[in-house]
Amino acid sequence: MAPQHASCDIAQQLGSTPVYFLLSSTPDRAARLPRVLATMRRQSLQPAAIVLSIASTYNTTRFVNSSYTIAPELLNQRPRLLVHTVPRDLGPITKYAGVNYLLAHLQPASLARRAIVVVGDDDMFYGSSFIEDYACAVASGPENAVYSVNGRAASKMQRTDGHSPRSKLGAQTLLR
Amino acid sequence: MSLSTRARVLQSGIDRDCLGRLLSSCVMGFRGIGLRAGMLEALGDLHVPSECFLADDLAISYYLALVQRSTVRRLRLRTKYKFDNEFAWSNSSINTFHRQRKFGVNRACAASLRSLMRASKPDKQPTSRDA
Repeated sequence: MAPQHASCDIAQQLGSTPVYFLLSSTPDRAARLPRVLATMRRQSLQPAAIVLSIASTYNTTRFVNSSYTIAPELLNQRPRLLVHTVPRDLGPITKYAGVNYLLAHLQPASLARRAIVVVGDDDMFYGSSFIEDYACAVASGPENAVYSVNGRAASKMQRTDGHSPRSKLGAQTLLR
Repeated sequence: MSLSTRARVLQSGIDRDCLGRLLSSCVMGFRGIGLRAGMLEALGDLHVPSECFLADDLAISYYLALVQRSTVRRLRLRTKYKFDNEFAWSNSSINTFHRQRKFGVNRACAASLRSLMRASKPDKQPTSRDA
């Protein structure tokens, strides 16, 4: 299936459906959070909130600090930063745990389940259409669709689209 | 939503060789993944082998394969991304961790997931061709 371009009347497609950006981070990378927020402020479609999932405590054999520190002023910015704390560090899959927060707090439940989540990493400067492109695709696609740019076929896709291919993606580089 | 090993992943376009074809598609998260929140509501029930602790892309691909009738589609973004070089290649980076171990973490996770899937595989694993 050819890669889909994200192009839609986003206001019409979304209606009342909220869009959230989910990520996780680790104590050693807490200093990057302001850049994440700045990236989200530059979005053509700002998410309703950013859900940052962090563990209440981290293994200090892996990290210098056992806890993730958030500067208070970051909690008063737009888009709003919601901090979801999980009891233990689940590794990088922790970023998906933000969905539990949304499903528990968003009302009605049908709205929570329909909410669009865009999941990303904490070390990227995403382009300004990042959230809108995903929101557009999810909103206009079937309810059970999962959209992703990358995979082993992504290099073919980039060549097809006339972009410079990244390094040849093999089985090893497929997974980060 | 419940998890089932009778996975039916339709219209896979990303990686048909993922996990030795046991999964018909894989997602890769660093440039984002977009979906409805409801698709992830059973994630808390997912058993992820300890080998997959730092292999989130594999783990979430495995989860999506277990979610009935999930459909993975490729998306082309209109604007480009950049890695934050200060962090993306630092020692705190998962990518760096994987590279330093020559991606053995992913291979171990894949082997573990493969075992799990084979152990619970139905008579025939539906693929996109069956759709």
